[in-house]
Amino acid sequence: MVLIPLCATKPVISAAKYERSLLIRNHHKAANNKISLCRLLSIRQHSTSPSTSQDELNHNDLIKDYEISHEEFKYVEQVLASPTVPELKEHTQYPTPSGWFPPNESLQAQQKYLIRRTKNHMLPVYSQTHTTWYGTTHYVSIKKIEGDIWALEADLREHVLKITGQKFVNTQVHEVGRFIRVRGQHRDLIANFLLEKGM
Amino acid sequence: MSSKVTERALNLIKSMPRVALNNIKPLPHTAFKKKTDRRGDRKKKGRGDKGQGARGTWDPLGYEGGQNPLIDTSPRERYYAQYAVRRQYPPVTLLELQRLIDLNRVNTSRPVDITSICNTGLFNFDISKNHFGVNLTDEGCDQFVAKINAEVQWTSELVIAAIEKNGGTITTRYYDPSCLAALYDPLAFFKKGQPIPKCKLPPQDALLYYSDPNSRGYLADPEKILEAREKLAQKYGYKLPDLEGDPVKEMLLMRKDPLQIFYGLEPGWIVNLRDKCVLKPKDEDYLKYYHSAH
Repeated sequence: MVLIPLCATKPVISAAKYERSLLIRNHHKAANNKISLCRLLSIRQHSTSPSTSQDELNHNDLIKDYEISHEEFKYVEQVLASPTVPELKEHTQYPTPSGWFPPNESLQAQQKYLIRRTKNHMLPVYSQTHTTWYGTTHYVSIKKIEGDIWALEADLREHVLKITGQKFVNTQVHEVGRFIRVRGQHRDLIANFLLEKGM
Repeated sequence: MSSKVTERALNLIKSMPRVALNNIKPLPHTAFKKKTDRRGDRKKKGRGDKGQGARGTWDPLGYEGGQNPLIDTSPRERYYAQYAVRRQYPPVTLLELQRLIDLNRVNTSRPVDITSICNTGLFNFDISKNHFGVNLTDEGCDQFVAKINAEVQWTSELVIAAIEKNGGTITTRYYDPSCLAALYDPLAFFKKGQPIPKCKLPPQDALLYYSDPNSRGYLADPEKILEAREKLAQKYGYKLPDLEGDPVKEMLLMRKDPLQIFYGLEPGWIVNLRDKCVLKPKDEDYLKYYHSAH
């Protein structure tokens, strides 16, 4: 066991200190065993463990011989995460191999409403499951809605009824929060509908 | 100085037998008074009149009067032995990986490892839940077109075929939990100012997987891996792209040392984020520790 050099960062534990900490740990273990035995015999026990404040780092144990390299820091930068979402790159054709395509602005202009993509370039359509004592309820929530929210709700309702053949569909419109909730497991259906609308 | 009374009392105690389990008895007021008058219970003993209750001939537990009992009709889950200590590999699909590449979240000009997947911020791994890295699964293997140098912790044969068909390479690599902590969040690790850890060897039950050329284990013989690549290409019926004439051959064949966890950085080095430099200790014992597997 060896020692780490002093630098701007915090020094790590020394070999001597490590051994001492092991000793203290064993001492604590022994003390704990003692305490449990005393509890069994209902004898009053005082703590006998030494205080850790005496445990000072010996600076002579530290390695002071080290090399500083600025060149190798580029490998560190390669590993660190980008603080922001990187910009999109141009693709020769859409959809991309994974099936993604960008919003169609000319189609969007024809609609009364607009749904913006998330920071991850995806549609803000989420499936939710709500479980209570009376059973499980499924919702699909559509967020980041701009423009005429009621027109979108009417379109969604019409589309879901047409595709599924249901007699009715329950929806909730939150005008202030700018989101709609549709009851049922219709996430993919709704997402495809919105993509067709150019969102 | 002690008085005569004290002396006598001490002598008395000395002469008396020691208090032990054989000579102590409960205090008089705590003794349970036995109930002698139980006239009412003489006949039926509080168990009611006749029947199973009086005679103690109840049905066995779980018996439902002859119909198939619940324990037989309902399915049971088999005991999942040692579930709390088993290694877990949360899945990432090939389709998800392709989406990350399409949206420029993963840089394919560099080797793709657990750090580049975690750096997207879209996947959660937790060491406290025994997560030992990523399992690359075969969903979307037909859509996968990227040419990458992948390094994952677990995978299947189909995934290996899907990646190698596009001219890429894949390695399965074991990391111990303390290394994974650094790999999941490198910035948080470098801020601690600790030396980069050396990676431990895989445990006994994982050693076979990570030294098997068919699973492209990092401890397998590289020549056997080349043979296994050709065998797999024949099995799935695709033409293996030539690695020798590849313009990015160097990147595709980049591998970490079994003790190394970051490309270009050796175990034992310390990163100073403020001064933007790397500190390399020269001590012999220190280097001996960080450059040996034990």
